[in-house]
Amino acid sequence: MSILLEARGLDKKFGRVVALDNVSVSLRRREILAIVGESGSGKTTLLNTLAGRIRPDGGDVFYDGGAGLRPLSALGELGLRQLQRARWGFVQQDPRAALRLDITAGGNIGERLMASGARHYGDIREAAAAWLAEVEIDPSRIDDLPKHFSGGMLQRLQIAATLVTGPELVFMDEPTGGLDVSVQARILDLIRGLVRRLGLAVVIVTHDIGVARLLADRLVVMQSGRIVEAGLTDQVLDDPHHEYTQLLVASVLPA
Amino acid sequence: MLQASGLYKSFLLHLQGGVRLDVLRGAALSAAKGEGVALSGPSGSGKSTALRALYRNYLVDTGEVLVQHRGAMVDIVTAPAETMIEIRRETLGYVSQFLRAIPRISALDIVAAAAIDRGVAPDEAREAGTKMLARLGIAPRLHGLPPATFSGGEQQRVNLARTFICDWPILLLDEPTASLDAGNRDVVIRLINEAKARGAAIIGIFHDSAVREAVTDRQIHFQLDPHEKAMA
Amino acid sequence: MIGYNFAYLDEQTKRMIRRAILKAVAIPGHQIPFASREMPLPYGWGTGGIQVTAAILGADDVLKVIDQGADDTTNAVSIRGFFARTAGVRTTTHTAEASIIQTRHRIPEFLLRADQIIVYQVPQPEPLYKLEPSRAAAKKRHALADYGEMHVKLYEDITRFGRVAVAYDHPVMVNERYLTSPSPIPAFDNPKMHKMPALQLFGAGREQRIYAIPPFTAVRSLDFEDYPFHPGRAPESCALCGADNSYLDEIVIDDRGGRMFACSDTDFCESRRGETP
Repeated sequence: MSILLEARGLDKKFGRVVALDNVSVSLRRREILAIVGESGSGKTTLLNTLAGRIRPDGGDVFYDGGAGLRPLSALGELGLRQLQRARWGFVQQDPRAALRLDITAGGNIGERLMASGARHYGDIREAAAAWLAEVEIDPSRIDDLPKHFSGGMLQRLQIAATLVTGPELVFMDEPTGGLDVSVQARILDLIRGLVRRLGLAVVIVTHDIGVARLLADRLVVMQSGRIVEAGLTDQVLDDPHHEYTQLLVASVLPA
Repeated sequence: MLQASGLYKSFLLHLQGGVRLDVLRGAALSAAKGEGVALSGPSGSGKSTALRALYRNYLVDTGEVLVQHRGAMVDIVTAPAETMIEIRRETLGYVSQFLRAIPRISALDIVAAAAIDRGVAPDEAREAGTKMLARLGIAPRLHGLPPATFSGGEQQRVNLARTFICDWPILLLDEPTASLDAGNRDVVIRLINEAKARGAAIIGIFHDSAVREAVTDRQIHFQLDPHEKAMA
Repeated sequence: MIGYNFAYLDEQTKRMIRRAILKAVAIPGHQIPFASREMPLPYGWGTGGIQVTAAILGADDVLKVIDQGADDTTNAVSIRGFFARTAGVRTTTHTAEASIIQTRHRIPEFLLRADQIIVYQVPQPEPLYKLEPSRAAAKKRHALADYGEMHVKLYEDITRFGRVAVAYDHPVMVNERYLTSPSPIPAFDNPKMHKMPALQLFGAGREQRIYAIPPFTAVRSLDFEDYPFHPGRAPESCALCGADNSYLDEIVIDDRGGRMFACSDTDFCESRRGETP
């Protein structure tokens, strides 16, 4: 599988805080990469930089949209927006920030379709209903307002609203953060199934090693803006080499 | 089929003040088509480490593990991640000692997923999965349930089913029958021998001497002394 | 009138507004900021429209002012009187006679000609403001023609009401490039904007924006393929003149639910009745 997304030598500072220090990482089609680390490690900054939401101070992000790897900086604002609108997806940690709570569930799911040019109400509605079923929300709730949904339902709605355009690359920022454990399990299961079935490439940020083990093929461990260890998920977690990785793995509470 | 040589593996335990454990010092082993090889030795001697190194679950410091994959010999120690994933999907099977239960996925789906990953149609995969689970004595009423609530032995049998549903050119087995009774143990022996008859190379750790004798043709003995490794 | 410039505004201000109008005409449907002046009436009463009219008014112009289609409401009368006093121009209630028509919330029924200018009073020039309250973000959207979300509002209408329920101020695509607010005219009037021979100018005083639709420009109301734009209208005829193709006002005539429908465009209705005031 060819390389879909590649970061080379990313640097980013916020004031005096070094968020990214010479970070390089790559992702292939249909691959799931987890970025693991604690708060302040730079993992969210890395995710946002990969997704084109933040411009790095140094280095660049390259994406292969079918014509070879090209830097995001060469895309232009409109090109990047169009990419983010349909071929890419971004699942945020807080679904309330990503959804419109005063627009119906169907409208929320249809939004990306409409933003990409969909102009047939019936088709949009059908796609929305199908995706509600995919994320295990009763399709009869298509006209309900999300402000009455539970946290887990909101997150599933966000996932539906993100995947409806059939993106090939999805970024996820702690998609199960803040949810009850049983709800988390359901959503992780959903993500796992959808990602495999749709052949998505995914970059997922998580502080939860269990999530990384469940979902990811490969893993990078971040500390203070640097990648300290990288490799196959099971290898990094079962045979951690770097001191920080060993600490992370040892800190997981057994059930 | 598989040839490992010059395997050196140390564990540097940063959290224990930087203690270094030299577990593998130049270990070597191989397995040919249709051959069964047992790794034996006292606990702590490195046999489990060696087995995991063959799967790249542990990463050796130096050494070579050549595996016959898609017609060529590939060194999995230096292979890129995507090649390793491919090898683990097509060529190298691994049965761990315990099942890592994923919440909400039924036993049948866990077993069928392995086949579906290989490209088998979902219906066919589920059919084959049902048969395999039955063969390993998992009652039909359990097929649709997630294994998290199963007994240790039942979980291990699901684990075994997940691997044996596919044909593997090379199979790595880590104490596959440890939690099984005699009847199920015999089923596993048959499964392993059927795989061998199809040309699979088997490398495993078998505590149970009866199993070991039934499925392996030679042993590689690991010794506790970290400065010597002997081959039986 | 002593102490006031022609049409109230000083010449520098008029120049400034005309420059904005030129820019607006050059980029159909795009909002141009302008420095709105303090006018002798409060915001929300047509200060934008008045400033545009004042900037383009000449001594030979004939001015008509309507409010919801009527020449004889308080606002229309006041504004017409204002220009009569500060500019001394001829005023009229007949659409066909006017060279400039300032309007609040309606387009006249009589087709406008290429030698006429219609000036709309606009309360909220930004069609995206409900979906995108941030001005900076809305500007970006216009720049990138990022308008898909606007259809979300229409989707919601169809979901809730079975049809697009934007009764007025139904957003339009001007020249297939800029999303524009037509001002709160009824959806019924939207089709009149398409390839209108007259120049259409829009002034928003409180929001300080001017925009324009040059003559014969394509104007398309937003819709869905399976829910095409439908200019709504009460299925009645005018009780006064019998017209069945004009926009009607619903008038309550008693306290028992009695009502009647009459043309909102008073000039149109009177002309049909043969009445010449």
